[in-house]
Amino acid sequence: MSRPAMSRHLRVLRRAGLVAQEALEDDARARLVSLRTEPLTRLRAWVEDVEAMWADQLEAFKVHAERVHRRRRR
Amino acid sequence: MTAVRPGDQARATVLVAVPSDVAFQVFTEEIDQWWRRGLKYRVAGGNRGFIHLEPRLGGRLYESFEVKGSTKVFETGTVTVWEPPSRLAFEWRGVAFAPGERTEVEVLFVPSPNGTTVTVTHRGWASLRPDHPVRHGQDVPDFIRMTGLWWGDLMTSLREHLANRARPRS
Repeated sequence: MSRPAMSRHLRVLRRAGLVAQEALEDDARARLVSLRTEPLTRLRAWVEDVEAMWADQLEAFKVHAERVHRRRRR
Repeated sequence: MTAVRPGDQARATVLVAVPSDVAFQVFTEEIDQWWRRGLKYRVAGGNRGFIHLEPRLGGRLYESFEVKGSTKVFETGTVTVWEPPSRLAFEWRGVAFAPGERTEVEVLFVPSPNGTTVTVTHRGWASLRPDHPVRHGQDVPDFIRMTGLWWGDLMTSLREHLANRARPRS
């Protein structure tokens, strides 16, 4: 990967809060980039909550649909 | 078996002992009858109201309910895929969503020997802005409740109404 391409990739990640970047004291040209997983963990936790909500709704749907179907077949 | 999928998708599946055409019809036409009630699941909370899905491409999914004698409508989104009896998709927007922010719900109805496997995939959460309320470790019931509370001119009246009168019915 070219250096400008690398810079662009890092900029996107930085804006998304997924990497942190700091300057090194003894080398003005160097940057230390580290991964931040916290935003991803938070998103994952949210998605799991959404999944639990839909699982809950689908259970209610199942109960209703099967009851309706039994009634119609009688 | 767990399939690899993007991290911003929520997925839930259920096996229903009915044919797929019945499953599709009940899911859409009778959504108000099976969609759970109460603050946790509806903007209306404990208020009298209904959820309706207009059964066609471009149809609206909305909740209509009464607050202090007047009828309010909250539109969740419109139908983007209408392919009975196998596939349905609609947009899902909360009130706290900014213009352009939307998530999408896709529902698949796959016939199986014992009935129909219904799978809901809710995608697009990562597209929401990073400071969005849903991205702050807030749980789903709180968020859904908040979408109601944040809804335009309803903000104050609905909050009072819910606080004073409505209790979740589950």
